[in-house]
Amino acid sequence: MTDWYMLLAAALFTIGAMGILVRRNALVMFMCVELMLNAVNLTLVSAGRALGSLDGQLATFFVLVVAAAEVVIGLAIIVAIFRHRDTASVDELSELKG
Amino acid sequence: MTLAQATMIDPPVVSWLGIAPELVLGVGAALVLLIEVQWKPSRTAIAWAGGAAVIAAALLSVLLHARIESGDGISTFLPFAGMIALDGFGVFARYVLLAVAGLGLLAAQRMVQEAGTRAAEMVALMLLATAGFSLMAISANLILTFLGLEIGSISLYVLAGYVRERGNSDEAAIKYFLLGSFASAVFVYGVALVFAGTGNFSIQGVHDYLDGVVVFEPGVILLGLALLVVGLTFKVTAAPFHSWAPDVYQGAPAGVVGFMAAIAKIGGFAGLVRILVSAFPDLAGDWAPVVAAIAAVSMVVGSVLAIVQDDIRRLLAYSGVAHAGFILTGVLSGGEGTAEIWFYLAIYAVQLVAAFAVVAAVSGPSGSRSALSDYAGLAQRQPFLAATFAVILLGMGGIPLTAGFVAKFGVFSDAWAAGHEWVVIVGVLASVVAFFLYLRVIVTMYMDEPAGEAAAAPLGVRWVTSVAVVVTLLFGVFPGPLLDLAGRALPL
Amino acid sequence: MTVEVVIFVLMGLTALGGAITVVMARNPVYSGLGLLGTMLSLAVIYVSQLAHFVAAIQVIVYAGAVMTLFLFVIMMIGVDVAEDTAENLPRQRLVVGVLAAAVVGFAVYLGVSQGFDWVPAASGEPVAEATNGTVQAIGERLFSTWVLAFEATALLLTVAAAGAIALAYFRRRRAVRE
Repeated sequence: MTDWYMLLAAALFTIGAMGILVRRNALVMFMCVELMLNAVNLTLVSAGRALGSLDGQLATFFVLVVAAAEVVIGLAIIVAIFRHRDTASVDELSELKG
Repeated sequence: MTLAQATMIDPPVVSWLGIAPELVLGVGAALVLLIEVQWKPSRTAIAWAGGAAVIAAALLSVLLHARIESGDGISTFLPFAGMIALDGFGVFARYVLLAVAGLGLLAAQRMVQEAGTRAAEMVALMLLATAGFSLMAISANLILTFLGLEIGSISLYVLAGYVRERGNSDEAAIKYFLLGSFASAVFVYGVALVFAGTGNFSIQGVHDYLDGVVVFEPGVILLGLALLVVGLTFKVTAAPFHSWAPDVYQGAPAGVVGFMAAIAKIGGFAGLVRILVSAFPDLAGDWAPVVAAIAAVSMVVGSVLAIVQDDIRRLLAYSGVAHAGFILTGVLSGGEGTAEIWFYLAIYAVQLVAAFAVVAAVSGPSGSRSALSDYAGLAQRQPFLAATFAVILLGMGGIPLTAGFVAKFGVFSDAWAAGHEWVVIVGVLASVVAFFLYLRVIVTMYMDEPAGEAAAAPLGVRWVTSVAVVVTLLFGVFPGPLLDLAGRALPL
Repeated sequence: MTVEVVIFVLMGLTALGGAITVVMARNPVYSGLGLLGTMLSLAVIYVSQLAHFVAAIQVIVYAGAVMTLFLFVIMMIGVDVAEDTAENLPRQRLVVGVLAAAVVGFAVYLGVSQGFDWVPAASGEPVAEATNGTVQAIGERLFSTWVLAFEATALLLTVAAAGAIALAYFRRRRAVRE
C-alpha cells in the first residue's frame, strides 16, 4: 500500500515539474510549485507511516510553512509585475534574454 | 488528559551560544525594522545598525570558535536534539558569511540611501538572508537545512526585485523566484525520499544508517540524493542548472547583486559539502562521477560562454558558473578537500562582492548600464577603481601570487589525489580559457579610449575593493594562516 | 484495509485529475480549482493515514489561506487573461517530451521489475499507534526534538512579512503622490 502512496506522490511531483516546463503563465507555474510541495508532503506522511515514525508528519509542517511564505512573496512579485506591465506571462518578460 | 501529562515534554539540550550569531542577526533584523517604525532614523544610521549586528555576530562566532576548540562549557556538540552541529565547519562558514554580509552592506550603501522608506526592509532582508544561509551551514538535519535555504533564498528573491523604477528588476525577481522555488521543491523532495530510504532526517542518522546496513535496493536513496544534488547545484549556479544566473545578475539592482551571488554560493556549497561528505560518504562511488561530470560541464560552459558576453554582469555570472565547477572539483575528494573548498569559497566570495561593487559604481546604484564598452578607458577616469578591479580580476583568473591561484591549486591537487585526473585536466584548460576572459576586461579598461564620464565611486565601494585586493594579494603570498583556519573547518 | 484502498483509489484519481487540470487548463481559475481539488483529496488521504492534524492544517492553510490568496490574485489581474497553450517554444516541448518519456519509462520499469523498494528502512506492516498524528503527539515532538526548526520558522515569517512590505509599500506611496 505504501508503494502506491509513494507512486501517487511521484506522479503528482512529476506533473508539477512538467507544468513548470510547459506553462509560461507565472501564476500557473507557481501553482505547479505548490503541487510539487504537496507531493513532497504526501511522501513524507506515507513514508513516516511505513517507518512507524511521527517525524514525517512533523516535517510536513515545515514544508507547509515554507510553502506559505513562498506564496506571500511570489504573489507579491506577480502583482508588482502585473501592475507594472499588465501581463503575467513569463515570455513577455524578455528584456534580459541573452 | 490532565495538565501534568500535557507539560511532560522533554526539553532538548539548549545551547544559546551555539545559535548566538543567527540569533543576533535575526534580532538585529527585527530591531532595524522596529527602530525604523518608531524613530525614523537616517538611512545611514539604519545601515550602521545592520553593520553592528553583523559585527556582534562575528564576535560571538569568535567566542563560539574558542569554546568549540577548547571544549569548555559544551555538553554536547549536537545540541537541540541534534538539529545543529557545533563544529569547525559551521564556524568557518559563519566567518565567510559574515564577512560577505559586512562587505555587502558596505557595497550597498548607496542603494540603501536611494531605497527611500524601504531602506530598513532592505538591511533587514540582508541580515535575514545571512542568518538563513548560516543556519543552513550549521544544520545537522535535512529539514533545518531546507528551512535555512528557504529563509536565505526568499530574502534574495525580494532583494532581486528591489528597484521598481527599472523594468528588468522585477523580471529578474520573477525568474529567480520561479526557478528558485522549483529548485527548492526538488531539494525537499530529495529530503523526503532520503527519509523514506533511511528513516532519518538527521545527517548523522543517515550516515549511521548507511554505515550499518547493507541496503539491497538503494534506488530510492540514490534518487533522493540525486534530487538533493540537483537542488543545491542549482543554487550554486553549476551547469546545466545555471541558466537563471545571467538573467538574474543582469536584472537585479547593482548594489546587492554581489551579496546575492556570493551568499547563495556559500550557503549552497556549505549544504552540499555537509550532505555529501557527512551524510553520504558511503555512497561516494555513486555520487562522485555525477559531481565530476557537473564540475567539468560547469567549468567548460562557464568559461566558454563568458568569453562571448558583452555585458560585464553576464560575464561575471558565467565566470561564476566556471568557479562553481572549480569548487566542485574539491568536493570530489570527499572529506579530504574541505579545507581547500573553504579557502576557495572565502577568497572567491570576497572577490565577487568587490567585483559587483565596482560594477555598481560604474553603472550607478540602480542603473542597468553594464555593457563592457562602459569600461573602456576606466583606468584614466577612475585609476583607483580600475587598478583594484584589475587585481581582483587577476585573482579570479588565478595567476600565481594571488589567492585565486592558491585556491585553484588546492582544489585541483585534491581532485588529482582522489583519482579524478581527467576533471583536473579539463579544469586547467578551462582556467586558461577563463584567464583570457578576465584579461579582456583589463585590456578594455587600460588600452581603450575613455568613453564618457563615470560618477565618482562611493567611499563604501572603495573600502570593499581595497579589502578584496588585500585579501587577494595577502593570502596569495602568505596563504598559510587562512589555509590553517580552513583546515580546521571540518564537519562533525 | 479495504476502506483505505477505496479511499485511496477515489482520492488518488481526484488528486491526479486536479493536478492535470492545473497543468492543462488555459484559464488560471481552472488551474486554481484543480489545485484546490488536489489539496482536498490529499487531506482525505491524510485522514485515512491517521495524520489528523496534518489533514486539518492542509485544509486550513492550503485550501483556506493559500488558495484564497491565489484566487484573489487571479481575480485581481483579470480572469479573462486566458493563455494560448500552443504558443510555446519547440525546444522546451522537446525537452519536456524527452523528460516525459524518461519518466514513463522509469514507471514502466518499476511496474515490470517490481524491484523498487520505496521505503527500504521500514520493517513489516506499519504500526498504527506510533503514527497517530494527534495534536498532542505532534505538539510533544514539535516542542522538544524539533523546537529549533520551529524557531527557525519565525525567521522565515519575518522574511515573508518584511519582503511583502518591501515589494508592495513603494507603490502605495507613489500612488499617493500622484
